[in-house]
Amino acid sequence: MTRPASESVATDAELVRRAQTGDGRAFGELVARYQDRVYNAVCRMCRVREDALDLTQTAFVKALEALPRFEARANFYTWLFRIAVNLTVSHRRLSRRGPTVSIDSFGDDGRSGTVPPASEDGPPECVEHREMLDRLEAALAALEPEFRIAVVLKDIEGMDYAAIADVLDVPIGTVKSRIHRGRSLLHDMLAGSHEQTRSEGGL
Amino acid sequence: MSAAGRDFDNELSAYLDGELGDARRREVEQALAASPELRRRLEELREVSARLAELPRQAAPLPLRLALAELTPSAAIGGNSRRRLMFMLGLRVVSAAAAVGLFAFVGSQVYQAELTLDREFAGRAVQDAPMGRRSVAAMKDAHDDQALAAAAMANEPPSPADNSAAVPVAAVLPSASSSPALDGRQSPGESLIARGPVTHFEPDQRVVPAEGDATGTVRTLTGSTNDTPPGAELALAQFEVPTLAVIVRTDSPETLAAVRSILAAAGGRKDVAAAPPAASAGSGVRAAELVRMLVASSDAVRWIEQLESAAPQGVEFTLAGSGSLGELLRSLQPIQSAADSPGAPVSIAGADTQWRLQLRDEPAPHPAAAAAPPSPPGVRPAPATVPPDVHPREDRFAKLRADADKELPTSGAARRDAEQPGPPGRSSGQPTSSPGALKSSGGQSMATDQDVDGTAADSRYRTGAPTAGAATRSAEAESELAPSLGGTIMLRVMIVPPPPTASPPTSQPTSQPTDSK
Repeated sequence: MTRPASESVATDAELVRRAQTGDGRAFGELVARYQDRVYNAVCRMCRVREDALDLTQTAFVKALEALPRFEARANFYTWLFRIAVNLTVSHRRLSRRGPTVSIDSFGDDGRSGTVPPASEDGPPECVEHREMLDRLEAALAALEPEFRIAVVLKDIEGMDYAAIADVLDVPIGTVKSRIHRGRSLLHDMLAGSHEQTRSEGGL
Repeated sequence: MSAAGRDFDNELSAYLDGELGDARRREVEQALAASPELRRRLEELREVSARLAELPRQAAPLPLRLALAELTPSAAIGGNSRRRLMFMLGLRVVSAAAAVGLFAFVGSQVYQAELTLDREFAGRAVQDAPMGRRSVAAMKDAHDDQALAAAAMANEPPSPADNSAAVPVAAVLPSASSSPALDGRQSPGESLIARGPVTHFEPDQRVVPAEGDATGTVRTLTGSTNDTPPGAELALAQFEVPTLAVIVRTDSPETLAAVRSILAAAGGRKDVAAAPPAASAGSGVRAAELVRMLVASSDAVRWIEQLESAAPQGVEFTLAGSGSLGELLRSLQPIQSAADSPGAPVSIAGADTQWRLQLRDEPAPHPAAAAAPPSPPGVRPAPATVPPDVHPREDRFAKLRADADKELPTSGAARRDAEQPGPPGRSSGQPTSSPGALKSSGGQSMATDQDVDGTAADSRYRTGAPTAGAATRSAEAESELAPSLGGTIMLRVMIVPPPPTASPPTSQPTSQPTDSK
């Protein structure tokens, strides 16, 4: 997934240039390159699968519409993410509605997603690990959107602070504080849920 | 923690991420060396960051890929508002696919049982190899040869006149000596492919010689298309058929009416299998009725429109297929010409067993592979582009009735079903037994293995659930098949794609395809 930045930018730039001339194959390559990442990030941000589908689609449509105005020296990846994030942030349902269908429950074709739900099967350490990831997912979903987005872009998407600042259109200092605050809150929530689990288990 | 400690604490994440300048980083390191509490905080943050990185990535679902594959710069840059409108309408279908939870649940009930059945069948039919994981490209290579072989069986190319009417297919598979499909490179069941507006298909079972063994049982869909030349021997490989799973919650009269209309369109030729009760999964979702049909793509598109119009919030779609997602979507493209196939829905009778099996086994397409080549101008998601009057329903019903009259000795009931507003309930429209089924003591048609697998000599009317419990199918299960308010129906629509040829299909009147029989 990770490529050298220079190679990525150069390749993207070339594809963008071709797409701007109407080359559908070039834009298709850009879509293929980033559809998973955009969808994944949007999923983490909005937490509702149906909304994530809509928002991802809309993000690519808007990117396509704005492609003629895209400046070649800009980074297509961050530009695309900015579109997606702005759409997600402005999406009214982001704060009004909780998850209806967990994005983690189902993959393509309705099959189970990549993380099976925690069960009693398997070695205890595996079960515990899965439970921890489940708790982390829940904690991430409960995080304030501004912190959640920053954490997602950093720890899941692997962006650096400058790219995140570009995507969110905020100063780097704001990015730094949001990431730190988000991680701290996540830790507190995880610690709290862990203690609750222990107490409920009579430990 | 002191004020200085809190100041450094706020820098820990940036320190962890290597985002601090040299001077500030050294200051933080000095603070860390002096403060065990800061070191503990750093480890806490490091662990959270590491755990976040372990969270699974959500790959773009198949419906989303399908929709995105249709995006082309010309569509947006050119400012074609109509095309954009069509695309956005198409997005609704993709969005509706999001709620796959119910589908996953219901599907899991079916899958689990069918996997068992498939193994049983494979045990009996040694030459019927399990479905492999094959890409569309790989299949296409094979199919090219096989289609040539199949066409060679016809001994004459299709002529325009040949396209005017569907030709019944007498035989399905070429003989072993003439078929490259039977040279041992692949299993016979994967051997042949026919594309075209379907007019008549039905499951079949053939026993053909195969290399290295005496006999092999082949499960195919046999039938005719409007493009089938006279005498052609064609079959539709099961796994090639894209599948559209539609889950409909009949929670409104409009939805119920739409579902009944579709079921009526299927007439007496639909294959119905009641899904097992959902109690085991404990999700609270009641058992869905399952209706499987094989239809032309144009019909599938029309049905999507119909259902979406009736219940925009109560219909869930899941497109599924192997290999190229663009290929699948293109199979749903409406035929631009109003002279498309009449596309009568016909029975499928369990023939998607392997297809479902493959769906479960098929790994998620690689993003690069999923990025279908740019679609030709005009290609767009299907639902919004089908002229509502392409296939007048009266013509369709007339064709269905004619087909039923010709092919089914007991089709009178089915015909009545098609004429009634409600669905053709099995209690009234379907025979209580079929040649491929056994009679149970209670008078119900008890499915045999062959019957369940869709390979009985005549399983058109097979009504057993494709489960181990199918053999003991109960009257209660049958009674569930009539859609009612508050229920759920899953339509598993296997779609016969339009011809892959670049040229548009020739005009084909909606004449009775069985005239030449």
